[in-house]
Amino acid sequence: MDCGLAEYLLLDPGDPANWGSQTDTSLMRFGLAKSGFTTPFELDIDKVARLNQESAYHVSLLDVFKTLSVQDKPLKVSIRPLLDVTLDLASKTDEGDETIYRFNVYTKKSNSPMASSLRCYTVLGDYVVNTTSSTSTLGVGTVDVSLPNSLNGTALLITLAKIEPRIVSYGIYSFKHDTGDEPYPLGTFVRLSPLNYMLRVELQYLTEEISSAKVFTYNYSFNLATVTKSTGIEQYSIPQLQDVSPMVLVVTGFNQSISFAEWVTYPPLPLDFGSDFMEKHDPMNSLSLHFLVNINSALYECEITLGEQGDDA
Amino acid sequence: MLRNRDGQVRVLEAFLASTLVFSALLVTVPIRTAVENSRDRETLYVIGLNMLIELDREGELGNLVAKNDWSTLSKRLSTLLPLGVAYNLTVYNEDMGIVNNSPISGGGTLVNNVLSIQYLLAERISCQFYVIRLQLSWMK
Repeated sequence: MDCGLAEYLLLDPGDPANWGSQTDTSLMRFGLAKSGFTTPFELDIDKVARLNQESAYHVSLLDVFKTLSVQDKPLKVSIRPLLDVTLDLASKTDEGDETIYRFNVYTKKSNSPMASSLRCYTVLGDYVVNTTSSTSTLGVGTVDVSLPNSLNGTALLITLAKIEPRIVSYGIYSFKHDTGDEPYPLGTFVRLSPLNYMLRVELQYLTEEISSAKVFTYNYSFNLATVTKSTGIEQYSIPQLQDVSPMVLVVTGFNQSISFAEWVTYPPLPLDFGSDFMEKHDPMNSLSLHFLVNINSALYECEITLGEQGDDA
Repeated sequence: MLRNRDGQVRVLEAFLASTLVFSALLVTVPIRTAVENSRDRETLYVIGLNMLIELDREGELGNLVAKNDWSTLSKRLSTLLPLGVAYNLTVYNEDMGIVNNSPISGGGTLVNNVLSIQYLLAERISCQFYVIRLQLSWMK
């Protein structure tokens, strides 16, 4: 029964079948499968995007529970990349007209080191530099990035790690180039909500100005075209790239003299949606099921945890 | 004398009560273990079948079998299966002869409670059919 419910969530598109991209209709039945999928466990990017509680378009847990008619059955859906990518700054060398940063990259799956190919983008305002590297079978690699000292502000190192053919993950490191301040936490300046191949940017201060919006995948990077601009909200169009990769969307800008670089991924992974098993429910009375799922051809891991009915321990 | 008899009855009562408690434990432990085993097997089945479907999604499983590339197939299985799951995969042809000439296994040794999944594979280029038998067990 529990396995059946878990599989149902991943094999049924729900009702309406395109509820992910249709924000003006109410959810009648919850299911994460892509409408008209050709092979099982293919999930809809927008249905997954709406599980992100940071998004302006998120669905509420209560609505989902109501449509499943399991209000008192604890349920949690976690979707994450198969590979963990972590980055740390190893050294910084001032070479006069440029600064060279060396980063260590670690790639692991369930704490086991994995070799992977790396595609790295460093973003500083409108300036983008693209490098490739790899991690060894020990799951360790290095990336060198040089940034001109004529520029300054908040920079991002975006690292996409790939294991052929369809395992792609990412790691992002935010750092200050040639300025004193530490990077601000995500969401300080803008709230980013991608849906239906549009990026909604909500400015948090009226004094802000966006200087660029970009998308990065394993093989491509593009500037996003502005669709609408109104006070406090801007919309950008996201290209439908046929690349086996999550999309990293980056918005850079200024709030008076402070430069910022904020990002979100599309689909927004890793994500956890549902009941809090550590706080409210007894994890000993729960069943966790692991699935491999596909979102835009890239492979991710989905864990569905189901608790006992009426378990309010 | 009457008090002594009372005492004997109490001892008998205590003995019967403890027998009842221990027999209840003896009965419930196998039931609980059986339920856990059945859940473990159900979980393994879901993991194994889901992984075979994913490997077969764009014809990769068929390509690797057609090329007899058992080491790559083994690497893929090790990457895709969760930590703690041991596996052994055997490829059979239409006459149920074993095709793989080297073992395709990993994640440790298959112990008791081994689950077996049969998967019919259609190789898309030469239209050959194979039966894949995937054996899985949790490492204890």
